[in-house]
Amino acid sequence: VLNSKYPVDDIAALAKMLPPFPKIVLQLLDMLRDEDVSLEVLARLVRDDPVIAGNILGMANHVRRWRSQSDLTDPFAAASLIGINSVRRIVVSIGMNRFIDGGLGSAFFYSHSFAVAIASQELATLCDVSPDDAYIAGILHDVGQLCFHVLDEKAFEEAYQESIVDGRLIEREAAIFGVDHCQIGAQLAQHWNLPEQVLSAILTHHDDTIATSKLQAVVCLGETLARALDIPASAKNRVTKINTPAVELLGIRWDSPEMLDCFGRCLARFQHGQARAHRGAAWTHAQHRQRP
Amino acid sequence: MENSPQSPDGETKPTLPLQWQWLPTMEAMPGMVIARPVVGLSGVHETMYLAVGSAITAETIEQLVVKGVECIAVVQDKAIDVLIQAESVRQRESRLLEIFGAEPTEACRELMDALRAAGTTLC
Repeated sequence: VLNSKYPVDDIAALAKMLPPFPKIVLQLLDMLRDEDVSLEVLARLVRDDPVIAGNILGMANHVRRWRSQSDLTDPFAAASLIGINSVRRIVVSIGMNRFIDGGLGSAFFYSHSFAVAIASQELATLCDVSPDDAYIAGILHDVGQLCFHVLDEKAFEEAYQESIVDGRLIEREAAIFGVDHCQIGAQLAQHWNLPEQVLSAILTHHDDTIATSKLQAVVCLGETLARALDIPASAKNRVTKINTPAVELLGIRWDSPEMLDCFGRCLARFQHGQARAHRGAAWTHAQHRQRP
Repeated sequence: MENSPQSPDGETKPTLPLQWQWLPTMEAMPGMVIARPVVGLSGVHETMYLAVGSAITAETIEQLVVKGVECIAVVQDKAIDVLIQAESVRQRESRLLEIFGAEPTEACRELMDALRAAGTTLC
């Protein structure tokens, strides 16, 4: 850490200023190592979480309405209808999205993190990388920026705006805070006991000259792809460099038929996620209104 | 636009449509026709009831949701106005120029050209 007027070396204190890391995601990751995990166990995990339960119910009721059936109100029955894979996807995405959307950072930060998670996951499915790890590493890739929002939002925003055209955000962050968001994000990941390769992917996602692992490569290129696809639409999206070693490590060709499908899926899934979040929020809001 | 080549015996075989559009699964409607392989959570192609060329039903939509499929490609509605589509493609081209800049590196240009070639499937 360079000389800095900010307390960036006290990660535990910084982590306390951020929203609590979603334990439900860590529990889920532990569970997923057990191949025999049942839907009942998963449903128990999400039962007391109104937002996740709302999303599970929203998806199940979408199906029931096609059958002209009445809406379900029981999360377990809803989870049984949509299946274990859908429940798993909802837990990871809602848990992580809620953490990123915890009141810090800009609307762009939240949507960008979500878009990179999707793009990383789509690339992962093409390249034999764990989709769940790719989603988590993708959504957390810029988590270090949340610390800068806490420490000095004005200084960070100025640095960010100045870096849109020349892409020198890392250097500006280091000059202001003594560390860049990749370094501080990796320290946070370590503090939360996230898997080593997730930590490594966060640390090196801005390094365009190396590919340290397939996970790092998909996150690095996932960010490039999200910006190239303009999701979320923003003047902040620029692509001036591409990590060529990462392209080579993953063995991808941008002009292949699979990649054409990957582009379309990223865009459609981004829209799907935004619509689902809206639907889940509406359900949760309605539940609150019904309470005495 | 249909791609219907002739086999050596002269018989015309129905083949896949070349124009498609990606949609969030929540926007899938019965009657739409699946245009590209449906991919599930793990990247595995889901073929049961969801083969390319098959029409979507209420039951298919349930299958999509159960399998955690968040998006599908469907045959593009031929009723879409060509002029509207052309304008949409023009806007995307314009954004690509802003995102990549006037003189992208060779590596960037490969991605930019691939996105450009995707044309209406991304609009």
